[in-house]
Amino acid sequence: MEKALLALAASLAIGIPALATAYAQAKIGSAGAGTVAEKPETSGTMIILEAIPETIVILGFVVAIMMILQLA
Amino acid sequence: MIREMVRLAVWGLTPQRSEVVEALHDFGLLHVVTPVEAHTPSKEEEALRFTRAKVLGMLEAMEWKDWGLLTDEIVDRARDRVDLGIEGVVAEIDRSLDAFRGRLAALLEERRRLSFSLAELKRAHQVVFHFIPFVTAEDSPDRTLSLWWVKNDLLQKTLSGLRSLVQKEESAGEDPKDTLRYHVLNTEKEQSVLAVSADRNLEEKVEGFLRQRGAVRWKAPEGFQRESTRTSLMAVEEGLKETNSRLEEIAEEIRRAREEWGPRLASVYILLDERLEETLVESGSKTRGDTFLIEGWIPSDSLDPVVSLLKSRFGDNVLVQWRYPSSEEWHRVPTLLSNPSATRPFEVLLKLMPHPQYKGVDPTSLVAVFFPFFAGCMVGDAGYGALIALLGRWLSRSTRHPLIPPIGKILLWVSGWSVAWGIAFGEIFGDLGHRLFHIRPLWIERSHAVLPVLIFTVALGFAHISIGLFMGFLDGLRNKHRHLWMERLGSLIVLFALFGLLLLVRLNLPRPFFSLNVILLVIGTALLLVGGKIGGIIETFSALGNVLSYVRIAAIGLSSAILAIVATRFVDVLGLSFLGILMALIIHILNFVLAIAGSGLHSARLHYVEFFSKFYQGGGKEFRPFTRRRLSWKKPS
Repeated sequence: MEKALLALAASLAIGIPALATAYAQAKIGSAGAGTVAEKPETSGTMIILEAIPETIVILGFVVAIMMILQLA
Repeated sequence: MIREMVRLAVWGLTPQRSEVVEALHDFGLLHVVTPVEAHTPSKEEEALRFTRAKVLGMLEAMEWKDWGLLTDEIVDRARDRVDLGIEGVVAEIDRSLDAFRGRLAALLEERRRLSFSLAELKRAHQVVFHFIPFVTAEDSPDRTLSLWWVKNDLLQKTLSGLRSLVQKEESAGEDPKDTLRYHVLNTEKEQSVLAVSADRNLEEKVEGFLRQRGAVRWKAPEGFQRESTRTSLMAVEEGLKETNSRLEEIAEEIRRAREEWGPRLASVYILLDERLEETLVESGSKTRGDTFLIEGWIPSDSLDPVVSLLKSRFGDNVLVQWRYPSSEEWHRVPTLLSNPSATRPFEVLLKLMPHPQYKGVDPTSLVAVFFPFFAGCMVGDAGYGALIALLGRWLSRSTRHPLIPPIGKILLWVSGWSVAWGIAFGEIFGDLGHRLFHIRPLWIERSHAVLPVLIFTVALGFAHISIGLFMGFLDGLRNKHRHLWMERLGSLIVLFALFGLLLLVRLNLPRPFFSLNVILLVIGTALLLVGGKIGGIIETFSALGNVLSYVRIAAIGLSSAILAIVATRFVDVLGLSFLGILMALIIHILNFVLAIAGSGLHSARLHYVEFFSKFYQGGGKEFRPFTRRRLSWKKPS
């Protein structure tokens, strides 16, 4: 039971941030595409803005890996 | 590296101004500084602008887009033939263009008209194609034949009404039997086309009845209407063939004109553009009595050749002065990057960022070291590395776009590190190397030993971020930004202290080590508070997050390794069959594309977001020398 809960927690640790990041990136991406169409020189800034939410998935991944290692 | 610049001032006699400007244009080393105040455009300037716009308009009209294929030789040939210094020649070009434009406009107008007609004919052809057999069979002098648009919901009522009408006529003694024949075509627009064939005696009655029921007579498109329905349908059929054939002829004529005239007109466009630039520099120069002054920035190592060239050509008629920029005008000095040929391709990656400042840092060399290293670590497969090398070699030889060869060279660097990491992880197309040749990893198998790779990537992030903070510290010192260098140094010390404390816990280091780290932590925090106040503390927390962000190298690498193994497992599951090999190949191709895109994108992100934010300051001006166009041409904006 404990193992099952750990596995569930690991999946939630990466799944929920992944969904949140996807939502944030969708919003930023559509706005960014519009901005780059108007001002191509903002491409770099847009990539940075688009990339910012990803960090939370990486942190989620680290937490998930830690949990899976506990399982092993 | 950012090239050192000097401010150059060229004085000369006004009658020689055009020659001096032309000479500077040929040298192509001066970033001309034009006065800020607006000037009234001269007649020559306006004429040049107008003619240039006309040429560009014609190139667009004939759909010529091969700017990348234009060579220096073509432009040089045009330059030799055309002397743009004389106004009369510009007028001559203008007249020639007008004549050519007339011919081109006639062709384009005919194409537009025929395309419109073709659309109508195609619509009509649906009817022609459907009714030709019926119309041919019914074409007889004693019968009347007509085509009608009828609404779908009225079709059945109309047909039964027609039949009743004909029966009534028959019962009244009209002959012959079989007086009415019809055929229907259902179209998509809630309407049908009804072809009615009846005895010629009934022509008026049938027509009257159909009109009464709201039917509208079908007509061939304008220009294709003939005496009888059959000949009209034939005319549409013929017209469609002829229009298509004529459109093909026009397309061929335009293509020939495009191939013949495109490069020539593009060369003329470039020459006009160059002449316009010279005119702008001339009109932007300061004039004092009989002398003029042109000022600009030039790389310091190009100063001597330019001065000696000017002196050898104009002797004492020009006076050249130069000086180094003062710290107050650093923000106005253009930035020219100069890197060794091996690392120069990585300058492409800086194009997405604002241009570096003159006294800022050029991170190209560091990007050249870390970008392929990170990307290679993510790919981490010798087989994929070899494929990336092939792709890189092919792209680096491409001449389609000036950006492609540098990308190809970057891929070659990435391929080298991919192979190296592939050997370290023991991966050749996943576990294929292990299966076929029993290859063992030199370091660890990353698909099994996840934790060591995670720790390694965090350490990598720590080193990368520390280098970034150190660069920021040096940049702050050099530019005398006290707050900046204190904040960067504070962050660096705090980061090291935290890392030391982590080591202390993990390795049970002696007690003095703890005291040392606490002292470092206090010093670092103090520097942070003085340098960046509360923002500095937040910045340091963000740097910690940045270090953790490097875990993505392991994460993406792990997913790539597992996908490669999955691809090979298809052969296990489906056997050494066509389907098994095909599935394995598809997954490997998908993984290869993901490996290139993911590794490049995330490696770039680690630089743009995590690394550059520690030291990089954009907002500089790009060095744009006053030069004749060389190398690959790009489509003007």
